[in-house]
Amino acid sequence: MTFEDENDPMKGSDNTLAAEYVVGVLSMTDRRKVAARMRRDDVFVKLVESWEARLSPLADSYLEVDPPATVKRAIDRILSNGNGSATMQPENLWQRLTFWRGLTAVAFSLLIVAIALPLTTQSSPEIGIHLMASLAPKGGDVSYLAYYDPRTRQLSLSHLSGERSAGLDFELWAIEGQEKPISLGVIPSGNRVRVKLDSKIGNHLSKGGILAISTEPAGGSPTGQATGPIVAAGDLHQI
Amino acid sequence: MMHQDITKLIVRTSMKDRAAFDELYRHTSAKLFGVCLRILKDRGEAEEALQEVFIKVWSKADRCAVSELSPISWLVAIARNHAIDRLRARAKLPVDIADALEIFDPEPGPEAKLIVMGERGRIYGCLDELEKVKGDAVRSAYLDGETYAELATRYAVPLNTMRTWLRRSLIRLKECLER
Repeated sequence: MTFEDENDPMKGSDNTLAAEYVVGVLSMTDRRKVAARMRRDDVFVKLVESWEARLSPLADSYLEVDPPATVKRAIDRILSNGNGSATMQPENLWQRLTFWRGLTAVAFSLLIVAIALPLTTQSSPEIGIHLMASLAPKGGDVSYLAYYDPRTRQLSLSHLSGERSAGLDFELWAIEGQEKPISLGVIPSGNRVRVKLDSKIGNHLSKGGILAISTEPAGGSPTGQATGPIVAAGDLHQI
Repeated sequence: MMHQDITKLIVRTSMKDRAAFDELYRHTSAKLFGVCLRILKDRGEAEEALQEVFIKVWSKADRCAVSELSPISWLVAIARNHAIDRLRARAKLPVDIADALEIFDPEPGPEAKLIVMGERGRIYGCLDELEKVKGDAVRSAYLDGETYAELATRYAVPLNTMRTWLRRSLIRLKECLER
């Protein structure tokens, strides 16, 4: 322990942690730990809120900047999708493509490791956490918004732009780190699509990573791995 | 728009009233976009973050009722925390300097020029009681979401020193505001 630490008036206390979280200096790992704690510790939440309130006048310095209209349109699509107006696609088609396919031995063993790890913040979907990804065009104009609710394992896709060529399909992939992409199936056509993922793929998605769309022959990749070019991709973010 | 009006909009939003949500967006999106831009310093990413922030507001509006924060502070807290989480999660992509400069004015920030009256202005008086660099470090951390490591580099002090500085500054700030 250094001299400085001994004189640190807030060393190691919950009050310190709450203040550091609010002021924004913590690492990603520490911020995730704090967020997980806030979901189960109301006393700590009050501490965080007291710091949010205390420092909030500093936020007066943020300038107001009008966002482009495309932002609100994208939000509206997502909300309409979640509101039950979605076109449901034949479940069996999606499931046939989703179940197990592309779940390579490596990916499967990774899942086992993930489940066995004692790290609780990432391995089990917690109520209230959702994930979202903006799949931005890669060398074209295909873009989608994806929204995933781990509790219901419902994945919503909103088609924003770009059409598939005749005789070709868009296939959705989940990519984590350097592992082989896992197929989530062929994306049915339509502006709004909702599908339910099976629990293994759902849990995999809850951990984050990248969603990507490739162009494949009608019916999806014949090999179980992407064969066509990636036309859109984006990071999954917890919201 | 008054606090009470924003509160009403949030309450109606929590009951899944889309018209109320649209109005809430009209009144608060510019502020929250400003938060995302300042922290992320990338327009495209700030737009994505703002989408996610408002989806979060839609699904968590009921939490605002149990929060002791004012409604606008609650919204800003959601946007700040989401933008900072995104900043931390981001792979080390080279930020286009021109883009960054466009949205981040390196001159004395508007916070320096801003005249905040009354109770909300007290924090500036309390920050002024700290050594200048320490007050600046608190402001930078809050407004830009910088990490201890980034602050230590910028102020050319060891990481532990920065940690101690900031913690002490925060506790002094708390004491000053409670006086």
